[in-house]
Amino acid sequence: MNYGNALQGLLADNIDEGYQVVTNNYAIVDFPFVKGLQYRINTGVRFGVSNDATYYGRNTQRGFRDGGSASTSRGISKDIVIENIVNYNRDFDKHRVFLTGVYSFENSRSNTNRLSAQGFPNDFLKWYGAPQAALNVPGFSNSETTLLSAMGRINYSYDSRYLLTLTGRSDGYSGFGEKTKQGFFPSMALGWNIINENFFKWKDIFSQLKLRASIGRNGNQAVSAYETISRLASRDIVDGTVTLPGYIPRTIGQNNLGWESTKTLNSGLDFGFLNNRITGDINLYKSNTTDLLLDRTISPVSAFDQITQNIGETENKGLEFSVTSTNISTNNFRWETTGNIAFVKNKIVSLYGFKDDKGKEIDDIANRWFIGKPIRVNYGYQWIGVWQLDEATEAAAHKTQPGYIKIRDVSGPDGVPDGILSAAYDRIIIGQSDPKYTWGMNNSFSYKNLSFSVFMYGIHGVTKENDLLNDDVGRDITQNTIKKNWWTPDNPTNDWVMNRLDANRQEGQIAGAYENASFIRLRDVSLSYDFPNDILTRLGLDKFQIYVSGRNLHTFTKFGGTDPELTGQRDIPLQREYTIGLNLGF
Amino acid sequence: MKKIKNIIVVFIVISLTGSCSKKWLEENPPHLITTETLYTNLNGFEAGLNGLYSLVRGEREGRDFTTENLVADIAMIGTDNIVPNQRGGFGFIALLYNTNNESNNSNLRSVFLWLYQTINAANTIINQAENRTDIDWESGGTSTDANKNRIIAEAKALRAWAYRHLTFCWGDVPLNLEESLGSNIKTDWTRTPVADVREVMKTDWLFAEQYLDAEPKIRGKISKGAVQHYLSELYLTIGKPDSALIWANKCINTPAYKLITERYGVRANQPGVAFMDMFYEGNSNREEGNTEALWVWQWEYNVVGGGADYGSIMRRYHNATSHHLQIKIGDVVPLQKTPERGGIGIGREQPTKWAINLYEPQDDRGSNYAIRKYYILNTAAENAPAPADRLPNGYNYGDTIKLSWENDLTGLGNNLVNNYPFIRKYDTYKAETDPLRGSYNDQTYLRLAETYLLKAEAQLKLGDKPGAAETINIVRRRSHTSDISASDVTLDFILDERSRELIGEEHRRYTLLRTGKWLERVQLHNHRGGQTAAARDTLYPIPQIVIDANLTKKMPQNPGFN
Repeated sequence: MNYGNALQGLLADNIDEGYQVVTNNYAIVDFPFVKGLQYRINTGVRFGVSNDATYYGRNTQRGFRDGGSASTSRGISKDIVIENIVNYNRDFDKHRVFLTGVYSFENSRSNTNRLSAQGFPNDFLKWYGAPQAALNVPGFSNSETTLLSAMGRINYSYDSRYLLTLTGRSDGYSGFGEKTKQGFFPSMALGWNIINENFFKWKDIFSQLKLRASIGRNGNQAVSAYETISRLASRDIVDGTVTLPGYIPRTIGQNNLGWESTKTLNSGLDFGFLNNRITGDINLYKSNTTDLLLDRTISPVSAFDQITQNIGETENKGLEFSVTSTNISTNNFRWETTGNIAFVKNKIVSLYGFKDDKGKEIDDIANRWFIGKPIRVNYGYQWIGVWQLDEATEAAAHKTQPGYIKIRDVSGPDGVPDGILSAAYDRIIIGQSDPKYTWGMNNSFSYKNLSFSVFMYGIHGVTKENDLLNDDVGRDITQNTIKKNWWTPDNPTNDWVMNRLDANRQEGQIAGAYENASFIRLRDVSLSYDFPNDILTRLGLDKFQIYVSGRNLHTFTKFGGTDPELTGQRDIPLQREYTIGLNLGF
Repeated sequence: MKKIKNIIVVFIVISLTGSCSKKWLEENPPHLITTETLYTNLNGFEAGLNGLYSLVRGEREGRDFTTENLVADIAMIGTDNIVPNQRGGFGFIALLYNTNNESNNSNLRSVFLWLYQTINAANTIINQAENRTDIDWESGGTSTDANKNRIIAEAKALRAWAYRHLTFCWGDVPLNLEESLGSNIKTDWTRTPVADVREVMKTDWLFAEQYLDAEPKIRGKISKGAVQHYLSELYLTIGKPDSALIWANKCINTPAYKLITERYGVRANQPGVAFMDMFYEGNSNREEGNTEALWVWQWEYNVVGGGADYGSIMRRYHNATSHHLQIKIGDVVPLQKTPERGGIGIGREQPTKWAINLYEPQDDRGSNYAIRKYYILNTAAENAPAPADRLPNGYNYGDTIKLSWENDLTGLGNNLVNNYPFIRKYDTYKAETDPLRGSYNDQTYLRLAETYLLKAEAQLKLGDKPGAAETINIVRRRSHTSDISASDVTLDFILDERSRELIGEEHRRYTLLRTGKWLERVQLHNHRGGQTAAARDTLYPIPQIVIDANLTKKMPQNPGFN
C-alpha cells in the first residue's frame, strides 16, 4: 500500500454528499395578568443526511490488489433542542429584578450504515456491483445522547450600583452511570459599580469603574455515549470457508461515571478612563476541578489499554488583563490598540488518593500525571548532547561511544548519578505542553478613507518535541528527512548524532529532542480603502471597499519543527495567505 | 381569546416536555452487546469461543491487524536455526540484543497486551460459565453437562496456551484469572513465580484434556491430542520426564493420529515428498487427509472472519522469492514470478547455514521441496500463465539457478543477501493470493512428529536411550533418512533433530530455554545477532508501561534490564 501511485486517489470514483435541514423557532407568550412575566419556548431541530461512496478500480494499486474495492456509507443525524424559558422582569423604585427559569431538553441521535466490498467481477458497476462481489462486510454504528437541564437565575440590582446574580442549575446527562447522572451547579456573582457612587470623586478621570467577584461551580460532561457500558466487539473466525461469528471483550466501562465539576473563584475590575478613551479589565481567578473525566492508561495485565474515569483534582490560577485604547483620535486620523495578556498556572492536586509509606501521594507515571506539576508535561530521558572524542572513556563506561547520543544520568538508588540509565531514576519532567502565558494585540489605524490593522499574538512557555528530527530508519529511508548537522570526527557538534543505525540510543534507550516552542506570530495585516460617499451615491451603492490582507505572515520562534502551534509536526502546517478583495453593499 | 389559546398551547408543550422524565437519560443501545446479554445460552458461549480462537490465531499474523511485526517471531527468530535477513519486526531485537531488547520496545508491549487480552477473553468465558445460574446449555445431541464442560475446557486450554507464551518469554508474570471489569482495576499486580503459573497451566490442561475431542468437529479447534502434547512439554519443562512420557504416549497412541508416510492429497501426482504434502493448501486439515495434525489454524480469503485484508504473514516473512526475483546473472534477471514458485515473500527470516547443513543428502526435509535451494529455468509452457524465464548467456531451459549458503547470514547491519535459501513450509500456489502480503491457506500449527520428539526427550531423561533412538527413527524414516543407534542419542542430537523436522514451525526459543541450551547454541550457530546475546536475554524485559502502571506496588524488572 505504501508503494502504490501516490495519486491513485484521483482515479477513484467518489461521492461525498451531506444535506442538512435546520429550523429554529420560538414563541413568546406575555402573561396578561402578571406584568413582566413572559414565557418563551425555543425549539431547534437539525436533521442531516450523509451519503458517501468510494470505488477503487483495477486501474489503481488498491483496486488491482483487491479486485476492486468499494466502501459506502449512509448516515442520518437528528439533533433536537427544546428550551422552556420563563422570565419575570420588574423595576420598582431603585430596585431592579430579573428572574429566569429554564427547563431544557437536548437530544442528539445518529446512526450510519456502512458497507465494504472487494473482489468485484469487473469495474463497470463500481459500488453498485457489490451484490456480485466476493466479500461484502456491512457495518452499523449508532449513538444517542440526551441532556436534561433545569436552571433558575435571580438578577438583582439596586440603583445601578449594587449588583447580585444567583444561579442554580441541575443537569442530567444520559452518558453517565445509573446513579450518577445528575449534577448540581450553583453560582453567585456580586458587582459594585463604584463609578455610580456619590462618594466617588474622580468621575472626570474615570468613565467606568466596576468591581466584580464571583464564586460558582460548573460542570462538564465531555464523554461520548455508552462509556459506562463494558462491551464486546465482534471478532470472527472461519471453519473452512464458513464464517463463525465471534465476540471478545473490547471496551471496559466505568459504571459510576459522573460529572466533572469546577469550582471557580473570580474577582475582577472593569475600568474606563478619559471618557472611555481607555477601557479594560483585570481578572484574577482560581479554579479547582474535581472528578476530571480522563482516559486513564491502565496496566495491560487487565487486557485493556485505557478506561475513562472521574479522576482526582486539579487547580488553575490565573491573571488576565485586557485593554482597549484609542491612542489618537483627530478628524482625519485615528489609532486604536486592543491588547490582552493572560497568565495561567495549573497543577495536579490529587489523583487517586494512593499514598506511599511516607504519606505522600503517589504519581501516575504511566499517564504522566505528577502531583504538584502541570496537567500535561513531557516525561522521559533527557538528551544533553553527543559524546565527543575526548569523552571516549566515560562513554565506554556508559556502554556507548563517541558520536552517539548522550543521555543525562540523573540519579540512582543512592540519590546520586550511578552511571547506569534506568527507567526508575533517570526519566524526568521536561517542560509543560500548555502555555504559561499568552497574549494578543491588535493595532488599527485609519486616515480618512484608508484603514490599516495589524494583529499579532504570542504563546509562551510551551516545551514540545521536535519529532521532525526523528527518521524512520526502520526501513531504508523512503521518506524525506530534514537536513541535519551530523556529528563526525571532523565535526564534533552536539546538534545531532553520527549517521549510524543505533547512534540515537544509549543502553537501548532513546531521548526525545524537546525544544522551546514559544512563539510570536504576525497573524493578520490588512489595508483597506473605502470609496467616498459621492462615488457611492453615483454608483448607487451602500458600501464599496477594496482591501488587501495577509495572514500568518511571519512567526518568530526558536522551535525547529514545522510549526510550534501544531501537535504533529508532519501535519499540514498553516499557510501564509495573501488576499485581495472587494466589498460591495447594495 | 388568542391569548387564552396561546396559554393552552404553552401549557401543553410544557407538560409534554415536563413529562420527559428520567427515562430519556437511560441508555439502551440496540447495537452493543455485553457479557450479560451474550452469555445466556450455548450459542453465546460458542460465539465467545470463536472470538477467543480469533485472538489466538493472531500469533501467526502481523501485530494489530497489519502485515508487519509477525507475532510468532517472539518465539522463533534470533535462535540457533533462524536469523533475520531483511530486518523487520522482532528481527530488530534478534539482530542487536544488547541495545534493542529493551523495555520500551513496542513489539514486546504489543504481544504482552495481546496475550492478556486472550487470557481475559478466556477468563470471561470461564467465569460466566462457572458462576452464572441462568444459562441455557441445551443443544441438539449432547447433554447440558457435556456442553458446559466442553466450553470451559476449550477456554481453559487456550488460557494455559497464552500463559505458556508469557512464562517462556517473561518468566514470572502476573496471574490474572478474573474477567476485567471497571470495578476491579488493579495497580498492584505481583509477578507470580513461574512455577506457580505453571501449576495453574497444568490444572487447566488436565481439566481440558478430559472434555475435548480427539478429532474436533469444527476445524481450527484445539484437540485432545494437542493438550496431551502440551502437558507432555510442560512436564518436561518442570523436570518430570515420567509424566511427560505418559502424556506423549497418550497422544501418540491415539488411533486417529498417525504420521504421514505416503504421498497424499491435492499434489500427490506432482513431484514432491510425503513430508511436505501436509503444508500444501488443500492438504492441511485432518478432513483433507492430514492424519498427523493435532491443531490446524484456519484462514480464508474473501470470507468474513478469514483474516480480512491482513491474513497470516508466515509466508511473507519466511519465503524470500522477492529477493530471488532480483538475482542477476550477467545482465539478465532470469527468474519470472509464477504461482509455482510459492508466492511472494520478503524473507525477513531465513535458516542459518548450520541449520541447512544439518541434513543428510537423502533427507526429504532438506530437499528442494522443503528448503528452496535452486530454481530450474522454465519455458513459457512450463511457466504459464507467466512468461518464460529469461536465459542468461550460456544457459538453456532446464538449467539450474543455484542459491548459495556457502556464506552464512552475518553482520549486524541492514545487509540483505538476495540469493539465500528459505523454508518453503508457508509457500502457497494460488494466483489469486500469491501477490498479497497476507496468505490465507490453513496451517498445521501442531503435529504428531513433535510429540514423538518430546517422547524421545523424556525417554532420554529417564535413561532409556534405545527407546529414544527408536522413537527418533520413526520420525527419521518418514523422511527417508538413516536410522540412528542408542549411542547417538544426546540432548544436542534431539535438539538438532527438532531443527531438521520442525524448523520454522516449533517455538525454537522456548525449546532451547527449557533445555537450558539457548545462549550456548545462539552463540555457536547464530552469526547474525547471536554475537550480541547475553545471559540476560533468556528473558525479555517487562514492558515499561506495565511497570509504570503498577502505581501502588513496585514491579521488579527482569535482571540485567534497566
